[in-house]
Amino acid sequence: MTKIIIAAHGNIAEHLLNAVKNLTGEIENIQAINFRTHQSLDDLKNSLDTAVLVRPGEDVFILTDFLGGSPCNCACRLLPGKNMWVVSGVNLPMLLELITKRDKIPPAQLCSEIIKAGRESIVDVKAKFVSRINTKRAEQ
Amino acid sequence: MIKLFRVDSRLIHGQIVEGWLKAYPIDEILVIDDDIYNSEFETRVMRFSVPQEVSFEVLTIGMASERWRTFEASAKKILVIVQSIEILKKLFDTGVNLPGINMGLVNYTDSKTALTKSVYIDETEKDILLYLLEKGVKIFIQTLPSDEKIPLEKLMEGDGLWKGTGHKTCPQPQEPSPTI
Repeated sequence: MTKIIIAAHGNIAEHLLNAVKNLTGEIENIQAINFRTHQSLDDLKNSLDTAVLVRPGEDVFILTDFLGGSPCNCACRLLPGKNMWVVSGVNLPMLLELITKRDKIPPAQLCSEIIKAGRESIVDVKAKFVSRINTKRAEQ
Repeated sequence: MIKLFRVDSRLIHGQIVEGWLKAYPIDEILVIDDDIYNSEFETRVMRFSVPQEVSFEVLTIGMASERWRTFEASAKKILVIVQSIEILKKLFDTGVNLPGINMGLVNYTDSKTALTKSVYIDETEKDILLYLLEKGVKIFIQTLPSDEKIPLEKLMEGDGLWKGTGHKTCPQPQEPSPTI
């Protein structure tokens, strides 16, 4: 089963995982790695190195908070490994998409689909709301 | 010119990319680190985390020392980063004219004393810092551009003991383990 790792600054990873569990119930093969101010890069590297130990042939998706941050930089170090995917800019819709679609489609396709889901969830809600109301009025 | 000289255990990371590079116009980042210089892979990973418009180079302590005057005279605005107080001392010992030092992040471990919530030092590091201060090197603690710039000597008692800023140990020791 594809393993999911969320690695992010502060407690984001842990809280994101808790939030998503509230929506879906218990989730298998998923791990959150927090990276706090006082922790060293070696702490983070060790946590990631341990987290990516999976059975041969299993895919690993590491979702990080932002490009250029330490969790993302450390995840990049693991990229030469086989079956490893790293995506930055994790958000809840991206994570939900990954949980729902993992092992159902090939990993490269999964990677582009979760990025799409993450991006499409970013919406100017006010503009969307106003345009819907206007459409409704026009229909009446 | 050397715009900023920083000690940061994480080298290039979010605080550099999102904090310092946005507050200071930096043309070039120099990381001085023998181990990283000797690893093509680590260098490549680090290059990836630097924004494309900023040039980037990793140097050994020896190379940096040799080229130091050209960095000082350069028209480029340079950010120099080293990951430890120990490297700072080695650079100083090769005769490098250290500018004001920005102490950003220095790793926490159990045996260390907190100077601020981002800077933790052990006895060896304390001795090096006292030595550098005595030699006239200016050292400031400032993690982010928006933080107050605290002169290191302000955190010392008259008798040379460290006052710190009240954190005797890690500020979040009671929190759950980093992985769940």
